[in-house]
Amino acid sequence: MAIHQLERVTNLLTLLLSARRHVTFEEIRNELRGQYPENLVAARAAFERDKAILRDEGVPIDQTVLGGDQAGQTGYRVMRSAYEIADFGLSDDEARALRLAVGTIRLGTTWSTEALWKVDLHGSADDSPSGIGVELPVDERLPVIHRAITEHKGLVFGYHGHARHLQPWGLLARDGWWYLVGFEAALGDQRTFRVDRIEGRVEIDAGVSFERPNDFSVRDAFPADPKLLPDNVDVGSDVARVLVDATDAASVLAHYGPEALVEQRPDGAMVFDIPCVNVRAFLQWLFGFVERAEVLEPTILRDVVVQWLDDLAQVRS
Amino acid sequence: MSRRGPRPVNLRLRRILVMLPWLMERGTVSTSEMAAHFGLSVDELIADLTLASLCGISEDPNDLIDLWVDEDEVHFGLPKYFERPLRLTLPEAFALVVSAKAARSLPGADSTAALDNAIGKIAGVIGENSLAGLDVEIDAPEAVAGLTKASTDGSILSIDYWSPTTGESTTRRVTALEVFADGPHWYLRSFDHGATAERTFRIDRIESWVATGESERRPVSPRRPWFTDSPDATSVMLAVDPSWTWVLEQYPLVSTATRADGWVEVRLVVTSERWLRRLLLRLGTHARVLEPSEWIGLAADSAVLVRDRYRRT
Repeated sequence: MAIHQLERVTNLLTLLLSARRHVTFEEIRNELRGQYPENLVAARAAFERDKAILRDEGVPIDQTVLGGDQAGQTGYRVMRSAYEIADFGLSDDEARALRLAVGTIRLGTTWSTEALWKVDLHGSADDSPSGIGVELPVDERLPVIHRAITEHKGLVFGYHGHARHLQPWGLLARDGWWYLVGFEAALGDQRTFRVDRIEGRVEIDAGVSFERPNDFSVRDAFPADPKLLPDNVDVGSDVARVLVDATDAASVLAHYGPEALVEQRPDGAMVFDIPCVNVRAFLQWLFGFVERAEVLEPTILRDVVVQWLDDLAQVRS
Repeated sequence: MSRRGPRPVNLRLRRILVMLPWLMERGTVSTSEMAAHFGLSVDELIADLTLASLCGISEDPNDLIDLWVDEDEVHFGLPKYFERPLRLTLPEAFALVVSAKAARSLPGADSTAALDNAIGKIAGVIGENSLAGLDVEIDAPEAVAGLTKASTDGSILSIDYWSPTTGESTTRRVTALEVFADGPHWYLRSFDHGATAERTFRIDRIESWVATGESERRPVSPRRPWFTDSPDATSVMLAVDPSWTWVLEQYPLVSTATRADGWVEVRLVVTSERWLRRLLLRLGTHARVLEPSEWIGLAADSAVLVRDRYRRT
């Protein structure tokens, strides 16, 4: 029953933390008399399950093969120094700022709240509203990726059906997505990956170590505007001249600024120069206006738009 | 209140290991305060504490964890085990760094350097490298700082809001409740006095806003999923080419299922016909409307609507 296992696991941890030397399974079984099954095989299986729970929770169980009278047996112990969190020494103001940060940034997990409980042992919940929140969902693979970045170790993962071996240089949260940027030795080039598109588990390749370039900035590793991302469609220009009706012109002006404004027409419509390096991203942006915007130049891009519309107009479900 | 089934052993253990040092710091605390702090019901808390009080290295009462529940208070006696919490796990350390770095980027972020100092102390413990190579980019419109203050104060505002559906602006009287970011956009959650209901406005579409000088206190409930409170929501079923589902990644979907032909059936909620036109134009020939029947020809109609404009010039 679950309640018994919780009691037994807690007792096991208590025992391992209190032990002054490594203790064997037999000694543990003897100390926790009646808590493990009589049958040796079943008891061993239960012990393995308990250890797995403790390890999954981050308990550092030290394991060693013993000598002397217990030669060949495995001994277990949890060193208090490895188990206990260090005192972060936060002042009241620092702890309050951290509580506010954890309350404001919503990661979609309990990780940060549980971390705060440990770090801010003296603090109480602050119920005063901050008035602001940021939804920043995290992927369960991010901590491992972050560890590889901080330890300068390689990563192996699947992406678009291929195994990728990456020297991870940085992680960036941008526009609600997490991006992993690194050096892919097989291609001899820097690459960017959307973390939510990584297929399956991410493994650390401890055999690979690297130095990140001193001038590397993950924020500058790729453009924030997807219309500026490299593309293999050449429309003869990196900038499109777009006529936007008066109904929508102000919102475009507010987003791109007066430097993008080419012409203001008497009816309130405006002509803008908009990046179109990535044609696919540009079309996504353009069709947000439905019939209230029009590509004027370059002609090749205008033709791409019309062809897209012609093809769609012929589709009748 | 019925909440959930039995809690997993690992979650209960995790709570116990952090509750004991927390309790030790306080000595005596009310069960309701402690339960609220750790996100438990009082019954769950008492169950966990009762179990913890039976734990120790032997059955001798002197070796057991020294705590007891009396009426609606929890008392802690002599510390024997678990004086300090377990060290941070990998996800906890990551989450703490991300939260702190993200909060540092917010408009009006703590100006006392307390958060910076806290970040520095965290890095000092979990490793200086933990901050390197991790960045959270938060670009907020200028209005965010002022609207956040208005939300904290419960200010009643007059806003001019531009609607992409009509292409026109309307003036609304709203009580600011909360400012939040979701994906690439910032939003103002508010009580709309004209609609007498909660409404969410995209901040970059608020052309101007002014405080009326009035304020009121309205409870801020947890945010509900997108569109659940929209009176105009329509459920739409699309079939989408699997290589084009990326277009839908930014939208909340109700369900997805892969069909025998490999295309993906997607159900989503739309709030206007024009919004769906935009989506269908973006998907092009890589999607079909399956439901509702009156919108089956909407993609082609939208294409004709836009193409006609190009034929005129």
